[in-house]
Amino acid sequence: MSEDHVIEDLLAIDGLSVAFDTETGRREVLSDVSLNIGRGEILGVVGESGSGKSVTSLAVMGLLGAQGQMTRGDIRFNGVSQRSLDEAGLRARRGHEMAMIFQEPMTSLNPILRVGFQIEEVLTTHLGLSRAAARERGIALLQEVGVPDPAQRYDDYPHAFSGGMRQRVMIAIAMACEPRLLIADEPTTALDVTIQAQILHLIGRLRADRGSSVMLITHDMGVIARMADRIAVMYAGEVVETAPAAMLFAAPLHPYTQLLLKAIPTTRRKVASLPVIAGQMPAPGSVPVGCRFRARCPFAAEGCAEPQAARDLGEGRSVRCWRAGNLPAVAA
Amino acid sequence: MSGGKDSADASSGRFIRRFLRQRNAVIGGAIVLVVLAVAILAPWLAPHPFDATDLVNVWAPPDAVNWIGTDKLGRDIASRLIYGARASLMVALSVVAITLVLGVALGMIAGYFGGRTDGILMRIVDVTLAFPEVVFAILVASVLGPGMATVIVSLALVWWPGIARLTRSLVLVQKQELFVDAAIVAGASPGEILRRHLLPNIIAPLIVRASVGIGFIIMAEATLSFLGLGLQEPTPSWGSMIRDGLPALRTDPYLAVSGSIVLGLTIIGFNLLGDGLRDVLDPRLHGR
Amino acid sequence: MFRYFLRRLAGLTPVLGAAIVVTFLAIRALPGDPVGVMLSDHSADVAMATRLRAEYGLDRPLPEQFLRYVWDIFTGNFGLSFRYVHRPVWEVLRDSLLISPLLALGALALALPIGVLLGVQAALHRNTMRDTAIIVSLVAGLSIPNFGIATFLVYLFSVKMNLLPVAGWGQFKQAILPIVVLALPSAAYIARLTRTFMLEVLQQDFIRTARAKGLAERLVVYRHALGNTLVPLSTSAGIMFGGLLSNTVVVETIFNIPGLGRLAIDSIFARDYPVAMAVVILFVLFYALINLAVDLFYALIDPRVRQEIAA
Repeated sequence: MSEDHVIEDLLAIDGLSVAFDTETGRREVLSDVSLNIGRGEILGVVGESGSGKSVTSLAVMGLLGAQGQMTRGDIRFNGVSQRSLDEAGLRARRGHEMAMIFQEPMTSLNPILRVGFQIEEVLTTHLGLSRAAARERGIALLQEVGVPDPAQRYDDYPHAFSGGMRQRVMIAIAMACEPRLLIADEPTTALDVTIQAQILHLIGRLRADRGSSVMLITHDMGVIARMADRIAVMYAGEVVETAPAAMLFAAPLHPYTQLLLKAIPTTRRKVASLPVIAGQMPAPGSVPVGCRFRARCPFAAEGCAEPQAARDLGEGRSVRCWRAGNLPAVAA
Repeated sequence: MSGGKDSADASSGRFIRRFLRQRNAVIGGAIVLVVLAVAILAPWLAPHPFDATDLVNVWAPPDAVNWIGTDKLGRDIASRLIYGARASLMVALSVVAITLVLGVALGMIAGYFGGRTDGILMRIVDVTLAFPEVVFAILVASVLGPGMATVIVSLALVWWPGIARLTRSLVLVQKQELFVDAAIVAGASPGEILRRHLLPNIIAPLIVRASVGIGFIIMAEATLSFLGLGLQEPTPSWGSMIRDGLPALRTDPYLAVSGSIVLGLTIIGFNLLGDGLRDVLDPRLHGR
Repeated sequence: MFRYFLRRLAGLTPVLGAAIVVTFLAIRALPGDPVGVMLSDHSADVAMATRLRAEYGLDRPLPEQFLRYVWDIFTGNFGLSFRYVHRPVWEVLRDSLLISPLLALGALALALPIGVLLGVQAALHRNTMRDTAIIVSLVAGLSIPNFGIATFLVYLFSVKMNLLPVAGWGQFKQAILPIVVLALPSAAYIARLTRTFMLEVLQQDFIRTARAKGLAERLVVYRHALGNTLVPLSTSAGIMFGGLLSNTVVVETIFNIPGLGRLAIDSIFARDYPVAMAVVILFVLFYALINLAVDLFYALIDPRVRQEIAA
């Protein structure tokens, strides 16, 4: 899918840096993150735990909390800069034009409120629907996301639903006000593989039917391969590579991406052992100056001690590595 | 993550809170030490005997001889306050000792041996816990009559089930550990296992529970003495002193007020120290 | 749900049974002869002694006495008073019967909303000056014994400001200070628990979901968080009621209120043990019923519990 620079992207994160106040001081968790999502596009955000994927999504939603600050950069959603909005403005968007679903469906619903009521809340808050109208719409939503017997289950409590079902309810809540952007943070990680497939199928269908954009955050390359139009790879709070999906898989440019792809088990080739990337990702607060992947990179060289900027290579590709494109082939 | 209003406030607040909490524990410790010292050194500290009446000089305001004045029988308030510390602590420590011995023993037996013994013991614990505290005071006071024995026995009855239950759960957890199996294989008797192997491992939370509880035990003793069921004349107790001072509050407030202040400070001190100990020894219990 | 209620009601039997047995034994374990108490100056009158013994059933074998005791209690007959010879205990208790529960429940009605509100405020403004100030007052409220607080309040409002009466009972004005004194420690306890639980609840995932839905913070706190805070709060509430009952006895004594608590204390001093024991049984019953009510409330707000009960 080609990047159309004339029509503005739905979401443009521009040089965003986020820091958190902790017991031990202020830690920067995102550094100079730039991402774009076009209308109707699925952007996959990949990375290890702690790479900053979730924080990015929370920043977009404005859910960083009292401890989190956007120290640099900006986020433009639908042309509106986040810095120009106050809390009320952010709140008006949340659940309405942009919605989010989370990793742990078992605990993401309020256990003492009926499921139907929890769906109604978004409808009455943002669309001003009456209880009756909201109820009708809610049941229809449950039907859409594939909950069997929706009229009956509408009045059930969350504990009566399985994990997969609860995630469907979460999707129903998220899609209730027909958001332009759906952020899905590890939506299938806590679910069975078969349920995973169903949930992903549901998300794909929502994009197709409504033209919603999706920011799909995961550490599972398989999910990314299946769903994403474009992919952003994150490492230690930075975006190290962005590319259209097919290109990323065919010819990854950043060493981290290359090693990630190598580590995916495949049924096509017998290997004695799975390649592992030795070492650990630096934690916020102990990141080195220069390339953050340097310690684990097989291609580390002198120039890697310099801070790395993201290079725009055109065609929707960017890499944060001065040696990208000039690397010797990695041993198979 | 909170709603996002007091961020600058929160970071300075957090530092203040941590500093305060450590300082609170220190303050508590200081108060406890002072009270302990007063209790131990009472005979040497008190300017007058606690039961020396002087009917000519009743309800005297503070002066050079009686630093806090005298009570309805002309006895020196300051001296009685000092001896009152001794009484309170003696009772509190007795209760703690009895409760720990009884509760820990029964809890360990219930937890380690399980089965019918456990069932019976826990039923007794449950029924005991189903009685409101005050009822024990009434029962024991009826049988034993008002006095120190009543206070100690009724308080011990109130507190032992909680300790027993706690001990039992701790033992249940520790029972699973490998070293217990090792000891059994090595031929250790149950008594040895309980005493030498399990007990040292469960003692920390018990100490925490006991230290948090002492403040309330002191308060309970004062309450019982206030009601007249506790320490009897002429033995001074802060509780009964306050009771004596209340009717004269309008004209001679020194007795009631000084008793209240001393009692309140002591309890605050023990509570602060208890909280501090809990933070140190068992920080995961109450993530504040 | 109703069956659960009945089951729990039946579960009170061992507790009440224990109370009955214990009170029975307690009276029999007393040093000295109860008849001697009643006779006081007429101790040489053997005929009167025999008559009293027969009247009080004290000449029967012990097991028979026990069975009669149990039966009597079930029919509401607590026996005869020792102090007011020939008068049924029930008569002695009757006027005080409602006063203690009234005080306790009145204090609860005051303490609950205040405690919860304070706790919520402290949790919301965690680590700020407001939170610290609240916590300090909570520590004070819990550490200073209620008769100390009563002393202070009486001094302030009655002695110095002459606003409220010092003691006595009969007018509404006289109930204010006692109920306030009674409510303070309970409010402090509730506030402390509320703060702790609310802080935990606010960390939970569904709160994040509620915010992600764009709900106003007020809704997030009071609809989503508070409801879930009430759940652990009610499980911890039982301990508080025990303290409340003890405090009621003290408050009745301080303010000279003719409730069951003060009656019990007076009876101990007057060696009128049947009355004291009757109060014991009533208090045990009251405590058990309140805990039962709490369990029902708990089942009411948490649907997961309701499901477990139905199973």
